Amino acid sequence: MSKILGSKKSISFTFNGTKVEKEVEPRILLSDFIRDSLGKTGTHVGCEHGICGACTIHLNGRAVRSCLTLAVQVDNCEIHTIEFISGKYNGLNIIQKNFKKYFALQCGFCTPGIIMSLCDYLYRNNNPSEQEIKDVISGHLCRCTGYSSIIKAAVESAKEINNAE
Amino acid sequence: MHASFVRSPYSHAKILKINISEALKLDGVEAVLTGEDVIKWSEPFVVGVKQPMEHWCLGVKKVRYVGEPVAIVIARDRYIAEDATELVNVEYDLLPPVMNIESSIKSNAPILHEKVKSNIVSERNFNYGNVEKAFSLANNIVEIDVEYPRNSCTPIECFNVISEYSDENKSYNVLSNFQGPMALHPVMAMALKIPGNKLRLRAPQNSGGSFGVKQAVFYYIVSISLASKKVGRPVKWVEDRLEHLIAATSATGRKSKISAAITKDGLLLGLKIIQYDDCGAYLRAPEPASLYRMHGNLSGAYSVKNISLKNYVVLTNKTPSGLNRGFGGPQLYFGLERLMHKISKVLNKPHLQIIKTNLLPQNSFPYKTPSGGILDSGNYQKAIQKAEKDGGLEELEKRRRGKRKVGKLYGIGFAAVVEPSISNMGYISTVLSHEERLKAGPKNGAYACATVSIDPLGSISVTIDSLPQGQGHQTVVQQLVASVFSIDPKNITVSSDLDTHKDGWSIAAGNYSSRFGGAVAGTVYLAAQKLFLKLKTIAAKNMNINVEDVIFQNDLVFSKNNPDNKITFSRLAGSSHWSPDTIPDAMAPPLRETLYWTMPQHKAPNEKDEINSSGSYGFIFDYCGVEIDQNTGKVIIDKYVTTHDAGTLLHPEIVNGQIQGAFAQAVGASLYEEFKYADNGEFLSGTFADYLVPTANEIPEACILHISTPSPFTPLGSKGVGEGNSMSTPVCIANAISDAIEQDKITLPMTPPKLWGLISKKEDLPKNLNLEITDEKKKISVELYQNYTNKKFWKYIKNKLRNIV
Amino acid sequence: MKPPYLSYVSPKTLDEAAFLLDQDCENSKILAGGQSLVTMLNMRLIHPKILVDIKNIKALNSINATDEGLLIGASVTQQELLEYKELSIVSPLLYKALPWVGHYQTRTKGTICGSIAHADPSSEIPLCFALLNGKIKLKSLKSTREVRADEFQTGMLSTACKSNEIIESVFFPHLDSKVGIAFNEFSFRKGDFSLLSVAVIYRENSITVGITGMTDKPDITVFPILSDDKIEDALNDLAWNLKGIGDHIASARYKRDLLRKIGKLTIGEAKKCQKF
Ligand SMILES: Cc1cc2nc3c(=O)[nH]c(=O)nc-3n(C[C@H](O)[C@H](O)[C@H](O)COP(=O)(O)OP(=O)(O)OC[C@H]3O[C@@H](n4cnc5c(N)ncnc54)[C@H](O)[C@@H]3O)c2cc1C
Ligand code: FES
Ligand code: FES
Repeated sequence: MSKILGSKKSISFTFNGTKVEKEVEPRILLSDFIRDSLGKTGTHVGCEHGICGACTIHLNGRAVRSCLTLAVQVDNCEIHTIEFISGKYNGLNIIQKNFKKYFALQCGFCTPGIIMSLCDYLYRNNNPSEQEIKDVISGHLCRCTGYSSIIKAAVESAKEINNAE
Repeated sequence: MHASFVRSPYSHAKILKINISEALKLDGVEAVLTGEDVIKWSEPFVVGVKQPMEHWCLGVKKVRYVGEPVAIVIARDRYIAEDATELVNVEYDLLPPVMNIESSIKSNAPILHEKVKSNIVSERNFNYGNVEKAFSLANNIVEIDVEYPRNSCTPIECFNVISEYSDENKSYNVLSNFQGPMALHPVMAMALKIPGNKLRLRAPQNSGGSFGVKQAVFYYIVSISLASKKVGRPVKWVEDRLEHLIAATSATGRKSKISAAITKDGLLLGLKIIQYDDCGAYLRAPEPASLYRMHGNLSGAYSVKNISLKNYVVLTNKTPSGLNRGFGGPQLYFGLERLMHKISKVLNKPHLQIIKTNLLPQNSFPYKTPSGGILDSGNYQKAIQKAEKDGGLEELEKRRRGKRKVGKLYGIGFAAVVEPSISNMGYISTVLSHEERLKAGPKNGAYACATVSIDPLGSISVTIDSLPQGQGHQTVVQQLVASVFSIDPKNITVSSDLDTHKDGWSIAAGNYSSRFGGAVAGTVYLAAQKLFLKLKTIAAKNMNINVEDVIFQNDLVFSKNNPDNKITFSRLAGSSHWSPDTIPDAMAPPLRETLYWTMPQHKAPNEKDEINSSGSYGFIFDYCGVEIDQNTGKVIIDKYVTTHDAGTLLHPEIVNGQIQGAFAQAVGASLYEEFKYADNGEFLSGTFADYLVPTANEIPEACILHISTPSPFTPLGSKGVGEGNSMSTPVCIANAISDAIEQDKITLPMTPPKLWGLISKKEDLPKNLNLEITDEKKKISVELYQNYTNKKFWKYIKNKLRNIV
Repeated sequence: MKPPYLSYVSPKTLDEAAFLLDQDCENSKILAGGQSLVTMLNMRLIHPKILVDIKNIKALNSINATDEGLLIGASVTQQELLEYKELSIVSPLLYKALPWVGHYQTRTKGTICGSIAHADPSSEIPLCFALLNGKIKLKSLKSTREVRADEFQTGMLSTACKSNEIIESVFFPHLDSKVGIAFNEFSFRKGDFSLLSVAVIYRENSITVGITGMTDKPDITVFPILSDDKIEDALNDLAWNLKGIGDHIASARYKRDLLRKIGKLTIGEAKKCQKF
């Protein structure tokens, strides 16, 4: 292991559907990398210790904390962020529409993370119960809404997603 | 360049030496700002009381709370900056800390600010009516001691500052998610030793929540500005969560004692209130405002006339306190409404009956309170009636009976609260004596400012000074202005960012004291109306008709009598730009209207120390049912009903969002959240795993009800609504707990272990029966590996798995 | 809150990983899901020089149900196991315990083995591991060894895993399908590390009770089948034996009471679902 401590690594991965190659210092957090190097600021950072959920993104299709992932780790992986969700549906997807309908956001700082969690969970699970949905949302902190509107939007989205399938 | 703070690990210590040489050696590090620079380039912040306290933007010579910044590393990126902070070596000489109000006010307590000679930095007495007489006439005197903890609404986005120093102009250009009040702009400029116009402060259109908390970023704007001066380049600082929890700000902790003189029916004849506010290590502006914001509505929703009040501002070795949703309200009402509950227990009468006995009568508005507040409007009886009926109080009482019958611990709590909004910025000067106030000049500022302008294509831009951080001000203003001009809301843009060099603002600008609904939206409305009238006049001239006959509808302008005589709204707007000569004489250019609005009811505190501390006063009546889990002591909120009178509701969904949001934060304050310190000063709530913000699983949905008695004082009749539940919910839940466990001493947050301490009986002693089978333990584990009796079962599983895969 | 300087390697085979780890094992750390490790890095609580990421080692990403039990590779995440088909039948204990581990969004990365390696005194997975007395396979450059659960966790955040060893897999033995199993925990917020967790295996002739939250590691106790009030006595004695560690969040007394209450509840639940 002759490499210099902390020397940059070259990584290649798919970011929101596009192949990307970048050099990155091993200690850079994925959350910082997405915001600073990839310039996509929809992924927010609220705690950097895994609790608030604002930084949640999809890593190989799964909702994970980007603040607890090193950017080097995404070599050969697929990353999706909130920008992809908005882009893909050419506007708002079912979950986003329901967030709007139910006023499920105020400052919106927690919102991208919650949408990413739900976009993974609700499309993966048929007919989740309200409690199961709450459990998923409980992986996020929202300081503004008091959650009830978020839960309503998510429950409604689950129904719509099930009906569409 | 990026900044990272070196912070004190100690709550009270002398700084002996700061060694930065190792840090400077690190590649990528540009400079380290320390107290030496700070003394050279800045002044201590001004304080709200007349005391020789020095509060610099970095700890100088001494540190007084854990997390107090002592140096700033400025480096190429944040990672390197953090590396270097680990290399800055600060030598401290530890001093004994004072960690609570009791120990701080002891005569032999260690002193935080030696020049002040005491940790009590302000003491004031107030007398309204004749309290002694009231107490002498009382049938009964009921007393309660309460404490309100230090906590914070911790927005999910932390503080941000970018500052750029210009050596040429000796000025600073700052972008920060500051939320006001802009009264802090002069405070910052003075600390930076520059005239106000050399501090250009910009705040963005959107920011990730604040709830008052981001007021405190002003403290960092000064130090990051100095950091920029140090390196001659823009410096950016993004606060991280650990920094935020340990050192950003906190709600003021309060210890109070209230005694009530009552009749045998529970009518309040007089109140004696003693309040000690724990403002942390420094009195940081706008403190001690928490202690005075409620001054005008000290008597809450009640008609009591005689009040005496002793206010003390106390310092402890904790993070300085500041704005936090409810600001002063949670603290005041925790005492007052716990007292009402206690009176009901003492008199053995229903709590609600005691509340009703003391409520202000229906027809008493506007009502002047003993301490000078002018409660603009209300119908408290009607609100309570609605709550009882539509919220299902009878049902809830039945539920309590049922639960209690089967041995459950179940309680119902109530709270009636007056929610002030639109602060009269002069209230803060109530902390000074009348003589001191005379010397300083009267203060009662509270201008709201809005600009409405029309461009040549007929779309409308509105600028507001409320610095919203998620409360939907833009949406409300859009709808409001659209309705004035009868145009599509899509044609209206609302700018809520602020640039001190370009926008209209006063010291009152900002996002606090729920000033939007009453003051800012109203000002927008008045400005829009004014502009609308001008346009109408121009239209009348263009169309050759009477002003009264001009109709605006669906982006069109036409004559009432002849609808064919019409022009489009955009055309009309264009003509006001392109052809000034078509505009009636003596009319200012009708393209833009900037309006400043304030209330005549906002006066400076008078010689009797009366102060109408707010402009408008809403009413909230809450009740809830809670059950205590008898296995764990956990409080389960079974039902929560909250009834509001916020005057005219501008946007019901947004209002309900504010209510549920404040409710959730208040549940946090009631059951989960607290900034905790050990006696030795160690901070115990430094991560989101220690400072427990409730999640979706902990917050029930509140049942929200409304009545409306419009304010006669605000342009739209609306009142603030954003903070009410921060004030009412903690005490309502505490009252319910008190009812459930039949105990008095309820402190927040009521965590399960704390509650358990109140209800647990004497612990069973060990019987030492040796029921355990120790030798068997090994046998069983061996058996686990060898003895798979149920082979059939495993075949079944394997088959099943094969089928699935 | 940014990690300190470090190097990163992501070997493709276990041997390679063991080799890399061996180079400077005192300054290296295995990186699995990162849900504890990266948190500690962000807070700069640890300063490893090298991270050896095991996620690219294909061989470690498998779940195997054998006749004897469930063999779980080091990079299998908590959520993968939770979604493993028929986990409720294959391992009802893990099926009941896993939903209590963090949140969906942390389980999607956090690994089963990482949790056992991390050995937080209030973790659920180490408790299951101890209760079943599973086995863990440790691989170093020169050797491979197996350690039984009762010898693995040595205390708070400390285990028998040496700094040059990698946990290759963990083995959870199956239980007789007739046993009754229950899991409960108490924390202020759902999803937090627990204040106290109780897991119970109710057998024909014995009741095994596993507890975290009282001491620095999971405590396992076996009782004979007891009447209800004797169970209370047994739990009371157990509470006193373990004492509990009081801190600013909860007193030892509170923890003892939780043990009495939740212990009884959990034994009751386990009894209900046993089929002897
Ligand atoms: C918000 C949040 C809530 C959580 N709540 C809970 C909870 O309620 N209960 C709970 O139990 N946990 C909880 N966790 C922790 C989580 O379960 C972690 O996933 C787990 O503790 C570590 O697993 P990991 O795969 O992430 O390991 P890492 O974080 O990658 O590693 C943890 C430690 O184990 C070592 N290690 C990992 N794998 C190996 C290996 N194969 N060989 C040798 N050493 C290894 C690492 O070197 C490191 O020291 C929570 C985490 C977060 C962020
Ligand atoms: S920033 Fe990643 S969970 Fe909070
Ligand atoms: S909307 Fe502001 S934090 Fe959720």
